[in-house]
Amino acid sequence: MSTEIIDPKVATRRLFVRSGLVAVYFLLLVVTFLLGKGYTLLIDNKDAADGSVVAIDGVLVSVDGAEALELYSGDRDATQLKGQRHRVIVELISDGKKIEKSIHLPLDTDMLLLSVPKLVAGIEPFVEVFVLRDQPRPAGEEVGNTNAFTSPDSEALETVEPPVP
Amino acid sequence: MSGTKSLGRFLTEYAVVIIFLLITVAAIPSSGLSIQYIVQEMITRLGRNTFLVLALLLPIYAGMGLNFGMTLGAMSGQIGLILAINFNIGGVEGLAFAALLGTAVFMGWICGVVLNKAKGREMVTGYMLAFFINGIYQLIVLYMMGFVFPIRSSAILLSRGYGIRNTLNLEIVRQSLDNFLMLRLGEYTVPVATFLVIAVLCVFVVWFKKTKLGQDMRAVGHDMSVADSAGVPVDRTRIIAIIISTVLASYGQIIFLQNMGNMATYNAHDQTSFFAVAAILVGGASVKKATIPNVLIGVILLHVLFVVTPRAGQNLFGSAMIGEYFRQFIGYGVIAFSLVLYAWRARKDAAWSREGLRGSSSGAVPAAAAAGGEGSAK
Amino acid sequence: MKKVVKIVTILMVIAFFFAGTSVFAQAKYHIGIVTGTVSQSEDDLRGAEALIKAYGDVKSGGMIQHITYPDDFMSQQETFISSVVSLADDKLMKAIVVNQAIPGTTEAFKRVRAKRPDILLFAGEPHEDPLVIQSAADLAMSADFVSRGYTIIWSAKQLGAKKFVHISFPRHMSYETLSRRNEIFKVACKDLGLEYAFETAPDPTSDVGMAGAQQFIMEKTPQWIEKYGKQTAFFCTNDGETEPLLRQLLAYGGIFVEADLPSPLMGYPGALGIDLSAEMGNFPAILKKVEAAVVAKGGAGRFGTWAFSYGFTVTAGLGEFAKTVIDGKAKKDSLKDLFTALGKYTPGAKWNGAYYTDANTGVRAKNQILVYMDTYIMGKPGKFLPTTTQKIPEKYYLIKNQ
Repeated sequence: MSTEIIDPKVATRRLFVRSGLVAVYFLLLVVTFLLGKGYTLLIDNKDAADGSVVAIDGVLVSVDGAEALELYSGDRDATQLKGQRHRVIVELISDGKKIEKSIHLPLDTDMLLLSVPKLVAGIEPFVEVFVLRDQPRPAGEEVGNTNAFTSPDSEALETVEPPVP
Repeated sequence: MSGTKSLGRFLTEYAVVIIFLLITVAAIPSSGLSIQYIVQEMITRLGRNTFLVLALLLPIYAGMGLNFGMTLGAMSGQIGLILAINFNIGGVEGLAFAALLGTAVFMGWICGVVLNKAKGREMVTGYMLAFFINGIYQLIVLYMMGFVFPIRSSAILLSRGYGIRNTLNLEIVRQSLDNFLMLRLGEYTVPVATFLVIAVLCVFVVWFKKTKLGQDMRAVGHDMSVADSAGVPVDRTRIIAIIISTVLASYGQIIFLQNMGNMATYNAHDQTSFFAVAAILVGGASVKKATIPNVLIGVILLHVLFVVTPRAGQNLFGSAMIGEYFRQFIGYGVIAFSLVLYAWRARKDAAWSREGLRGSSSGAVPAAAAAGGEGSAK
Repeated sequence: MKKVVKIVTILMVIAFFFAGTSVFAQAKYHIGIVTGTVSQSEDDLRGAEALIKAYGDVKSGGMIQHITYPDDFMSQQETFISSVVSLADDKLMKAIVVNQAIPGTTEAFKRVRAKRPDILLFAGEPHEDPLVIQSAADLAMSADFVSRGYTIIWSAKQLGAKKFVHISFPRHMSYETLSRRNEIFKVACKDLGLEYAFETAPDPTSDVGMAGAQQFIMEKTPQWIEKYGKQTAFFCTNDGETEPLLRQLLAYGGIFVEADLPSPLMGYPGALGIDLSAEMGNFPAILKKVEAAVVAKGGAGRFGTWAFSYGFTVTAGLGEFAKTVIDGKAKKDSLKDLFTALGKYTPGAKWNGAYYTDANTGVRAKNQILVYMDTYIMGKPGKFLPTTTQKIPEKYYLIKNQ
């Protein structure tokens, strides 16, 4: 913009500073992305579909030192996490055995499922991506038309069935 | 200077503040709201709005009037937030991520270049420019997101596959800055972290005024031709002022929205510049002169008025609707009044400086002040 | 500067002194009602006035505290949220009803909830996504955008329509509910043998303003009728644009089943140029007068509405429901109790309603209810179309936005 002649030394220094700033900018972007990435971790204590493991009756699961979740056979609970690396501590209520594992969550997903029985049995991977599929409609619930209602009053208005063209 | 004259000067200087104060104070009892509520609301709103209003200061120093183009920054901030939600980045990190992405240097540069082409008509040009960029923003957010740029979160994408939903739930970043360091003082809660951010910005503004660039800005603000002949790169300085203002506005909008907790995707920025400008004017600033206390007083007064007048109007006139119209009528009326008063005061100031031997008492660059004085916008 | 600070301090102290003296009076508890203004949504506001008439204004020792939100509510969420939260400042406040629940309601409800968990929070016609408002409200009630996606097309067919024209604009199509209903319209048209068309109108909240949008509809409607023929049913998602549409349809032909938020007051009084001030709040009388005017203009058998105003009923009905719940006479999750409350303001009307089912998860929400009434077709004599007893094929409930 200005017409003054710039000393080449100043020019190179300026270039360095500017590219440094750009690098810092991108570094900060990456750091905030990695630190702030949020996950929903479903903690699941159910029998595996293939029958490889069975649910454990009574475990305490604590993620990153948070208050432990108490899970019985067939339970599933959810916890919100931030960042990729987490420490999971599973404690069996029956004998007080403690298992500590560290998990590393992938960046390209938001919702994961941690299977407690698999973790206890030492089967890898015990964390997998959870996909929200179209859940079936609850059985026995009819849609629409189940609640037709006429407001009570003296003069009920008359309905005329129209001629179908 | 005689006493009566200084009193008259004081009254004209602070006429808007005084009138606003009187209306507000008169409205408080009839609103029926408790003092706890009003004070808490004032603390919340100070944290929420002050940053945005502070973004207006630098362009005023640079003689570019009230930067209505700050809406561009607000839109950038919103795009940053949309992306943070999209990648599910929560907490303070999410806000930082949004702020980095929303850093509106390019937007500010566009705004600065356009405003340099329209010297002397910066305010109306900025206002119109905001409308233009709003169209582009809508095009990007409503059609191109999900269509050109992939959006991975189904919670923010319309289920037709492109376009962002009308209202975004900012749950993952909701009040994360406010709650980062929340102080409980009796029955009040004070978002300390937010106030610290605002304090840092205030310090920055004070420091910036003392730098070479800051001095250049003031010189440009007083008289462009004098500054130019003194070797100050006028156009460049003006662009920098607008860039800083726009970037600050994008941060301000993020702070505002994290407190609000949700975002009207297509309308959240509509009134941003207007309310910020209203606040700074109510605080006693003018198109040519503004200080940090103006900002703080303005935010408090304008928002207390906004809190109490709807209920006061309703209680006085007995209709809920009139309460709402009363707020608009009083709020906008006083803003119009302050603009008229500014024009009148500019004339009066000129008369005063002719009378007295000393020129404008506020000039930090005496040479420029003497040459330019306080005239209408150049 | 110091002077200002001093003055500010003194005046604040005076203000604080005065503010402490306000007194609330006799009613045991208060119910807050939040609606739009007359210019934005008159029906909603009249519902609040009906409640004030029945239970008194808080100011005069009654029960109802009515406030309104700004007309340009999309850009003034801050004002809206804080005025809803200010209701919770009243120690006697026990319920807040927001109709329509414009964007920001969820946030306002969250704030009220944090401050006063005992307050019942009801949302009428939420603008926010169902899952969002469900996270905060005790009960949300909307016009059934799923069932009506089918019944409106069905009714149009009963009236002899061959084509169906949907008039809207991008901002409305960014609402999940409106967008989804539009998809259902398309499928229903195909299934029932109607031709579907979409026409774009300007957004009244944009720079053209309401006047410009209405002007556009005035000029365009005759062209649309020429393009699609007189056996075409028109549907418009915007309330303000309904009035010029009705006026032109009366003049040039065409069919109108019902408005987006149906009411005899929606568009008709303005389009027909009739004065209804004498009938205020008496919907059977209003309907009679509107019908007479429609028939006089040759619109018999072509124009429909709900017999009672939807907006009016939601405001008044939810207020009434809140009262019965607080009194312990009703349960807040009982559909029957809710219908009883609604029925108080709609004597003789036929309703249908269901809980909202999320199309993605199949989960049925226990705190959002979709309702609709029979459509009344004006004529000589007028008739009700039994939409509430139509069997709607299940597949329409599972249609998602494409």
